[in-house]
Amino acid sequence: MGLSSTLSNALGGMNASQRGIDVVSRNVANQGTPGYHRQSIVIEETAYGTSAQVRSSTLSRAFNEALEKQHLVAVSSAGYHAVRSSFLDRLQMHIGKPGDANSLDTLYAGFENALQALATNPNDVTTRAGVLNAAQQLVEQLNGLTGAVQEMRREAEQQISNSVSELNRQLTALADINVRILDLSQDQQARLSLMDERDRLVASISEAIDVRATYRADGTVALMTESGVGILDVQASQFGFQSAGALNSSSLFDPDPANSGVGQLTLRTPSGLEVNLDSRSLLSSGSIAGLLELRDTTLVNMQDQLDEIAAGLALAMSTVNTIAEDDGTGAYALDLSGMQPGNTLGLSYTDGTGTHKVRVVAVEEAGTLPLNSPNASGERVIGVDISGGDPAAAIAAALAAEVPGLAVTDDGAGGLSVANGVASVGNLSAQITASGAQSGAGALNLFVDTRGAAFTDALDGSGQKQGFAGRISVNSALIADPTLLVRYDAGVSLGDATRPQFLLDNLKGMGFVSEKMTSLRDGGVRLSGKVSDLIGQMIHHQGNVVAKAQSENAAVSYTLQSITTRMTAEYGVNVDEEMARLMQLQNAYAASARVVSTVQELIDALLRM
Amino acid sequence: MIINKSLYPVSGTIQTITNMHKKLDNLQLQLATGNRYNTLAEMGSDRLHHLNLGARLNRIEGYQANILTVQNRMSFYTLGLERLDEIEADARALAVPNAYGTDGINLATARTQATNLLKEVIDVLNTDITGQYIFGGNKSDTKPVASFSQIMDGPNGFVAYSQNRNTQDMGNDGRVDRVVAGNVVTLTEDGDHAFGFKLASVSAIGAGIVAASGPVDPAAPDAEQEISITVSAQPAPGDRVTIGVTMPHDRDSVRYFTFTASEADPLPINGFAIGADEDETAANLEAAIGSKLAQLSHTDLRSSSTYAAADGFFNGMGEAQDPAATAWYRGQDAANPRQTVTANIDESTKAHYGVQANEAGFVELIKGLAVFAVSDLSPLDATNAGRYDAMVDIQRSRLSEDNNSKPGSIEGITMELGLAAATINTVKARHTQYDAQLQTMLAEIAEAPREEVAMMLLTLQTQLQASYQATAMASQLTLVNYLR
Repeated sequence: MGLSSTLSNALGGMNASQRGIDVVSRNVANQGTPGYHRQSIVIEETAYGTSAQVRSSTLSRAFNEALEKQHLVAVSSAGYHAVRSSFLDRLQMHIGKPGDANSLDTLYAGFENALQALATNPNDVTTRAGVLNAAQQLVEQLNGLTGAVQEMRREAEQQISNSVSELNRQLTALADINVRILDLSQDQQARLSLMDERDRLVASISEAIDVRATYRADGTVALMTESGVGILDVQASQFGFQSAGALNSSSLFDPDPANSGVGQLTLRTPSGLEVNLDSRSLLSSGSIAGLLELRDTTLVNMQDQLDEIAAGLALAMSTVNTIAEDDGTGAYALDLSGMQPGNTLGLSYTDGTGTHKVRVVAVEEAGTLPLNSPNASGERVIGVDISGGDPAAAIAAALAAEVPGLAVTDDGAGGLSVANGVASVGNLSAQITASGAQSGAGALNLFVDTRGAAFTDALDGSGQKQGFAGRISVNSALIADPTLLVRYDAGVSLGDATRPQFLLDNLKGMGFVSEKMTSLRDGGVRLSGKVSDLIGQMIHHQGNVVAKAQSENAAVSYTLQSITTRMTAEYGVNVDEEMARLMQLQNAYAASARVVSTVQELIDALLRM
Repeated sequence: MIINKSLYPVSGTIQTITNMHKKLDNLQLQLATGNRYNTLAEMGSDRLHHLNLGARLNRIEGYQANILTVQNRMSFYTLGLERLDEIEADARALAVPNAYGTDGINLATARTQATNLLKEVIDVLNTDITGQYIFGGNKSDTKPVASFSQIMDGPNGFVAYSQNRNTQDMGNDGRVDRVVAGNVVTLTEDGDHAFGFKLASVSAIGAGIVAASGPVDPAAPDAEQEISITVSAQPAPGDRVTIGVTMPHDRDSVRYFTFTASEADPLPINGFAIGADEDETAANLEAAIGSKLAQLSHTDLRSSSTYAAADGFFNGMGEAQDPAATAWYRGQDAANPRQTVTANIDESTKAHYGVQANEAGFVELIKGLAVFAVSDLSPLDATNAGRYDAMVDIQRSRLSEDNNSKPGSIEGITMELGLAAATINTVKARHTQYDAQLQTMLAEIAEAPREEVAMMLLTLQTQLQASYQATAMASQLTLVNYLR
């Protein structure tokens, strides 16, 4: 009481001011530190005997859980879209703008014009060389684009691998920090900076995968993916990525790990449970999810579209489309002896229920059957195994079984005849690949697969179309002898424009419909039309995809930026405020010091009495 | 990295300023390159328009290249056809009736002139543009017409062929057997062949002469025809017998020779003396006919025979080649020569401009010149003059301008090619106009509008300056500066 209580009050005040100035100094020093949350002194009133104004204080840290969670969601989203945008930006550089010298549409137009010149002037060495030259450029660009796409897929896998190892390191560090935060006996200041580090690590982790964070009262954090798979709870789970080696166009994702040709992402929980994260529903945001989407969907769609274009080019040059004529008795006959796997037969007939369209597709292995029906054009698909050697007999047997309303016979010499039965035939046509360069037909194997094999769009195995854009090349027989571009049979004059005109008409007139569709997220686009249409649609679609990725990236970054601004306002250090506080603390300290010295004088006066 | 762990991370305001700077760079690039868009994604819906316009422009470019090629070839055709027309006129000039020249100089030079002209015709028909022969349909890798020496000389050449034909036509006074039996004169073609005279008709005016021609068997119209003239009674002076014969070069037109009974001395031309009795008159008639036929066979028949040889040797479009003759034409033989060479000049418009050297106009010209080239007409005497006159007749009718309206004539071909050229010109004009329109539309999409870009640069510059100024001002406003 009396002076001693005054003294202890003043000392208490000075102590508090000292601690306050300490906190102010720490705040101001860490103003630029990323992830630093503003600290402040929390005053608690305690009564200690006679000195009722002694205060003790604890440190507190500015933290808003809702804002923090919003921030994590925004960071995941930003990570996802940023990685997509950067990869797709490179893709658009490879594709080029329409009208660029290396763009597919310019190269195709050059090829068409070269054929046009050949049809006008077949007996000119330069026009023949021009056609081969244009074809070569077109093929090289297709090969190059395929290479670029597959290279990007490989790079995506590599980045996933790097992210995974970084992620594991961060998770281990976070688990360690969780344990250290639990220790309440350590210095408060150190504990608060551990919590800053905790928040930084959680944000880094959420950039790679989307996490749901639960902040406990004791300061630890538990992490879970948005779909509910636990990542960190006291002990950290381990992410694993098993790379598949070099990816090429036939390495595709398959839900069955034994069949999958791409790397696998797994999560092993501390209890030993292993979860396969490749399925898209488990990871919905974050850069790893973005890379997986690129590797398995976006880039694969691009590859499919390139394959469609390459297949269209090859088939337009090499398909002989024979339309059967009514031989007077209502029967339509076709010679199918040259049929190869992948070649088709189109039949339309009318029966009591209406007009039906059927497409018979030849396959080589019985394991490929049954084929998906109906196809993208709405026709009913019947697959027939022609490995027996007589396509007409096999097809006749299949048609007799599947379409009982028509009289289908094979004449034993490779020909098929379809006549009216209960149903009446509309038309019958066969699309057969040309067998050689001088077979008498205008069609020509100008574009071939590896080692000069003809492209017939065979469906066996994984399908000949898969990755064809990387394998398509100009037939070396033509490069050795360009006169084959004109000579469709031995003894044909070099001035005869029949073959060039046929090739040109087919290229400009033959239509294709793609069986594969892009992902619904990108619009569910299915390429269809003539080869020039396919190319235009591909360029337009990919341009849209890239533009969409870039605009989404911009939108998400903007959101993230506004959240960050909000966070800076809530947790950040405002130097002006700290300076004002410093002034007040300084004055308070000086005032308390003055009280102490006054008490000192009073005691001195007392003692001198 | 999204989570920036660097000290003093950049604030949002500075981020915006950096973005404005990037925009500034982009606008500068637009001004420098002239392209409105630098990347595929930026183009948005203009992408489709650009693709479509680009595709159409490229198509038009292809067609214009084709048109150039076609026009180039057409100019060669035009030159060739003009030259051939001139040669046709020269060939007619070789054949002027009764123009033997001084001492028959024309007859002597006709052969050399015809040879030179024929060589020139063959050269024109073998015109080539950088190795492609244009008068053979679309068979442009071989010469359409054989060389002059191949055609003329050699065992199967035209010289030997025509001589052979002449011999066969002229034998037996024109391959007609003449028999006098009593008062009946009988003329019979001496075999079932195509040579010599063919008897067409006989008629008589006069009481004493009865003319009869053998029955014509419709099943065998070319069988030997027989004419008999019976002198049943002594004819009166002035009674006439008219015999019609056809020549080897034209079996459809009949030439009539009239023999008149006469008592005058000397006998008029084509007259026969009225003898003492019917038998003698018949014999006189037979003698008159005989001498006439003999004279004809050395002049008219010989010329006609050479033309018939030319008809057989130089076969036209669609006609079979005589096995005894060298093949003079090695090009394509299609039913419609114009359609052998086509060029695409628009989506659905084609130019047809093929020409074959075996079309009617060229073949007639070659035949006419070949006939003169193998006929040696000097020195000037009655026989050669007679031959020359007969050849002149046939030549003038075959090469006359009246034939211009027939398909395949030189004028006809020129006109058809002219029509094709007119179409090409129309299409070319259309392409040029369309090309200009499309280029304008493409420029609107793809080119950076200079004025707009400059305006945006100015605006951006103002914004940046204002932002920089504001940032500088804000950085000064801190309490730290005002504490003592």
